[in-house]
Amino acid sequence: MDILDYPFMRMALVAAVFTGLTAPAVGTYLVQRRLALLGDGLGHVALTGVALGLLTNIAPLATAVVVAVAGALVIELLRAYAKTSADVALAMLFYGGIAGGVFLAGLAGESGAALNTYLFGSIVTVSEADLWLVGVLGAIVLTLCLGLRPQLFAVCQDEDHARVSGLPVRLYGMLIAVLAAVTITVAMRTVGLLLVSALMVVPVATAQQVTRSFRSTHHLAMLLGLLAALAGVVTSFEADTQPGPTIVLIALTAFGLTATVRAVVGMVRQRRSSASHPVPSA
Amino acid sequence: MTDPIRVTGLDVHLDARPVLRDVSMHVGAGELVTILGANGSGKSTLVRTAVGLITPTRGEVTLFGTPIDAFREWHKIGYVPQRSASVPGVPATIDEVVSAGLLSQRRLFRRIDRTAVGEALERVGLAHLHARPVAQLSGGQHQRVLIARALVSHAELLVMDEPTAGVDHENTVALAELLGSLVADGTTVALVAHDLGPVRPFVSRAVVLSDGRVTYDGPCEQLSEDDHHDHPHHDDDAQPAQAVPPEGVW
Repeated sequence: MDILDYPFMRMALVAAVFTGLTAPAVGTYLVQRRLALLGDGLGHVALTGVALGLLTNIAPLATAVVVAVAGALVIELLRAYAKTSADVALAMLFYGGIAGGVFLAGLAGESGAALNTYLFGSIVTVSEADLWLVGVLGAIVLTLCLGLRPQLFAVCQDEDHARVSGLPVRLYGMLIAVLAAVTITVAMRTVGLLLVSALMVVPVATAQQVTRSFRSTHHLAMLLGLLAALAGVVTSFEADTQPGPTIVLIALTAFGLTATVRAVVGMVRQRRSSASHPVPSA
Repeated sequence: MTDPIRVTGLDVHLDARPVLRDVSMHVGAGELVTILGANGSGKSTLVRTAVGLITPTRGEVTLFGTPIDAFREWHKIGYVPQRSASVPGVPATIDEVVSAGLLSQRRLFRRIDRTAVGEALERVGLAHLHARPVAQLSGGQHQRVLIARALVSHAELLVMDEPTAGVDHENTVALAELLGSLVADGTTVALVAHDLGPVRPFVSRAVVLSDGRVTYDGPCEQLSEDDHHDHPHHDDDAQPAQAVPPEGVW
């Protein structure tokens, strides 16, 4: 039977398309700002949102969006005003998010297993309503990430220069954090909150091995993210594995192969260069 | 004509430590003013406060006659930060970095002016390398990229924070020539430098800082090299500026 004959797999593939494109689209800016772990921190905060949804009987995806966005704004404000370093602010997100999630889930009478589908993804349980929300949010994230690329690049590349150029640097910083928060909730069902950060960072790291410009890195990372997400969903269907870890392992394999090929090519070039320009003996 | 930069009674504390104390100075239209002083004298803090990157504890900053809090004409200012301030994370080409200098003039979702980028790169002698990643450039070339980014918007005021730091003598001479031509075209320049070096012939006025206070403000002819730094130098500052930059530089 063909994979597309199953309605849940068709929805899973559509969700994978949005996840694969949006995660590296935002992740490129996070890597540029040296905030690669922000996705992890916000993923933990989103878990509190999920538990809040379970407690209040509101759709967990919606509450996760709201709480993750609030967490993103708090971390930017901490960095800006509280003189808190980025890693300390992230650590607080990690601890607060996971503690809040487990605490609220307990109050809701849910076991840890209820949170597992959000922590590690459960793409086959994506509902049509989920898909609409994922599609709309994903489209907004992609539009802003691509349309505002010059501004976001300037802020991430040299914040001081961007500020003297009159750009609202703090606003753009918050926008990046909010886009990351929304992306995490978009990807929550596909790769899960604990692994979403990998899809934000690994395709960017892979693209960086072969690109020369920010624009080409951005585009290639999105393409690699898309391919990893689709290949991961198909592989998980065929091999009966968990989609989230499968997607991340495929992305990591692509990184490993690219880095290895690049290292080998570099060594070969260096040897050829040494052979054509031998060092004269004394 | 209003002064592009005027600071009055400026006190700046960083981490509760006084860095600038009652500093008043101005940069007049069409001037090239160098701000000199030893390490830790407050030079960079002064220009960073002047362009709004640091909020003073006390005192007033005006840009083109407008208090800095109300100033909106940022396209008039080209800022060259210290080179270490720009962080290379994801690869970026020279074109992309220089294009960022046009953002103050650019509305959202509009295409950038490639001609202006090309002209700015031509002026610093990097047009032929426009597609190269900045991570592959030498220190001097990287500095020239940051200068091109400041020039690309045809700014009326250039604020440069130690643009010659870590740059070899040939490139320093070439930078001095470029600054001379910009001032001749009517651009105002505020230049933080460790010493005058090859830029001396083009300087209108020097402001010397020591321990956060202005200790000299006047023509640089009356200023000896020893007046504005308190430790020995290893570079070629004593050499006169060359009229024409050597072949291969800029």
